[in-house]
Amino acid sequence: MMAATTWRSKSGLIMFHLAMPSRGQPVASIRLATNVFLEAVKIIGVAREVEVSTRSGGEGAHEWSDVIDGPQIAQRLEAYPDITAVLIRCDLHCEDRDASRLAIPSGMTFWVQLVEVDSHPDAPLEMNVTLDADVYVAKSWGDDRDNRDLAQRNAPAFNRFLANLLRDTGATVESVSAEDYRGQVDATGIVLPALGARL
Amino acid sequence: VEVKSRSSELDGRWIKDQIRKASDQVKQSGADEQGAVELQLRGDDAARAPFDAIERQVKAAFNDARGTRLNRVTVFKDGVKVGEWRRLPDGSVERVFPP
Repeated sequence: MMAATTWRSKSGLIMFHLAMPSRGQPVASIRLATNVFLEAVKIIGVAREVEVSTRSGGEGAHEWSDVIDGPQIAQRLEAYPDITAVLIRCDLHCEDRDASRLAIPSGMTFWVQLVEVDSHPDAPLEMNVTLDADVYVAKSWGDDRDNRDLAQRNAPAFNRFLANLLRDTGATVESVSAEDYRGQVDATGIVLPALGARL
Repeated sequence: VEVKSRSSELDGRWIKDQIRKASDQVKQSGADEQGAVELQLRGDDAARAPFDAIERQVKAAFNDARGTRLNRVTVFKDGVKVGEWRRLPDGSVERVFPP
């Protein structure tokens, strides 16, 4: 008999809308945010694809899936002085109920971008972390909505990832979009229920 | 067509970020064609959003440089269309509703 899944995948389930100061150097700040993200994401998964938009080449002008290492990406980004955005698609690596690895392909998307392509250099950057799986929340929308076991195992790592990203970029959480998960997500990440609490 | 809905009060990012995500989703689907996104504002809190604030976010995310995998963005309030923007053959974007 196959166990019912306790979580689901769907595009854009939970979004963290972040703002990062550009300190008058938006391109350097985009590079910094990319580098910080590529380091932080190792806590919860792996970057799979990097897409770079530039003023001269347009949206998605360059796309790499051959390198996921932060320093390598940083070196490549140096070649583009007119970056307007970087988008990174990631796989999530979670811990399953038996402590084995639970891989979730394309489970998370990150981007950092200028507010507008021609934003003032001092304008803050927009960052976004989007979860395309609800594996971290206790009350999911899986076939069986009780996902407490996986949430307890994995949500703390996600919250560490988010805290590191905020700390090392100086970004703040502008807002969170998690309409289907009320009370389970806030600016610090995933909010777990108290042990023994009813769903 | 990607459909996204919101029932809480509109903030300064939701529309922009949903358009960005939808454009990437169309790209990830592997289709050569462009896609569309419908944004549904439901309930009193979300539907209170003024049109100017909605359009400002749409224009920032859906223009000749951004949201390029999308050819149409439509915004509804409680099921009633309040705005529609379309990409023209030259890549620019025009509001078609309200005219």
